[in-house]
Amino acid sequence: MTNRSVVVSIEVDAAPSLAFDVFTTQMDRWWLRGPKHRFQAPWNGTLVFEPGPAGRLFEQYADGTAFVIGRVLRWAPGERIVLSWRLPSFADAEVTEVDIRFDAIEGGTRVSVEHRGWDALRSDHPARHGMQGRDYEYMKANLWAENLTSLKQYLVQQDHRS
Amino acid sequence: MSNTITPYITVKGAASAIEFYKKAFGAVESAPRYTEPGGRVGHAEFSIGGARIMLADEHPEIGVLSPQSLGGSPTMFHLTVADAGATVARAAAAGASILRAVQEQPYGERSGTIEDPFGHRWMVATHVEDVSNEELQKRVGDTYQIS
Repeated sequence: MTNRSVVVSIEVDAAPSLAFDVFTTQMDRWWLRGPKHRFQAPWNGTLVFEPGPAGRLFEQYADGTAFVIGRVLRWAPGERIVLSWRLPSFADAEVTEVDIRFDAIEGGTRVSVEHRGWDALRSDHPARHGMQGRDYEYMKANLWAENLTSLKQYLVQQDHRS
Repeated sequence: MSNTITPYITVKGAASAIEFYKKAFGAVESAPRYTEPGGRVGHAEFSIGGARIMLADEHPEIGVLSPQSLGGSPTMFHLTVADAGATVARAAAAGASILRAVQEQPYGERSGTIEDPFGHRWMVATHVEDVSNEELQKRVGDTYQIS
């Protein structure tokens, strides 16, 4: 796996342990909806993050089927998760990797996502939508940025509720 | 229709610049930060009391350079705070140079000017009073004409 990647990070007003728990156990609540962000038609699946070192991340559909996005490669509660990451358009051997870190900062947590391995995808791969190199990496980074922003806002709402 | 102007600054060392602006001005990082392979910050945002500023590291290959590479900046930020003296002292403690100490200005502000460690200049000001043109003319005498 090669090392082209963009790291997207955000500061959230929650301790690392809480940010980690909300990231994993409530992913379907904060991950944005619709074809741009969800994985497979009819775009109404539920994101399920099975916790633990042997866990998986998948999208569950009403008809009982599921699409497995990835498997946990490294599980350090409150600190770090490394996941394999596939999209429905990937061939069996094609896989990328997502590395999520939860670093304590003053007053909260810096959540950083490194999504790497994109140059394993051929230049005409449908997942690239015609984009290469930095253009493609920034498009992917934007998608993560939107979801991390949603996570940040979701954590604020949870905070007000409690 | 209302427009928004958001300054987009270039610095050598965006990650440490954000830390400086937090310490000096009480900035908060207000949007996701993009870090490229190799560690350059491609985009970040912070806000000072609700005023947004975007920033990135230098990208010389596309002509994006900071004041330190250009030999200075023609632009200055005017920052209004509750206590200009305290803010300038905090900025200096965090590594800024004081170009003009904070003092009462004839136009109704207490203000001073600093250069931050990344080459950007800030006029840090606290509003003291509203000064009419007539009153200002009286105070500055013949120094300049106010029309």
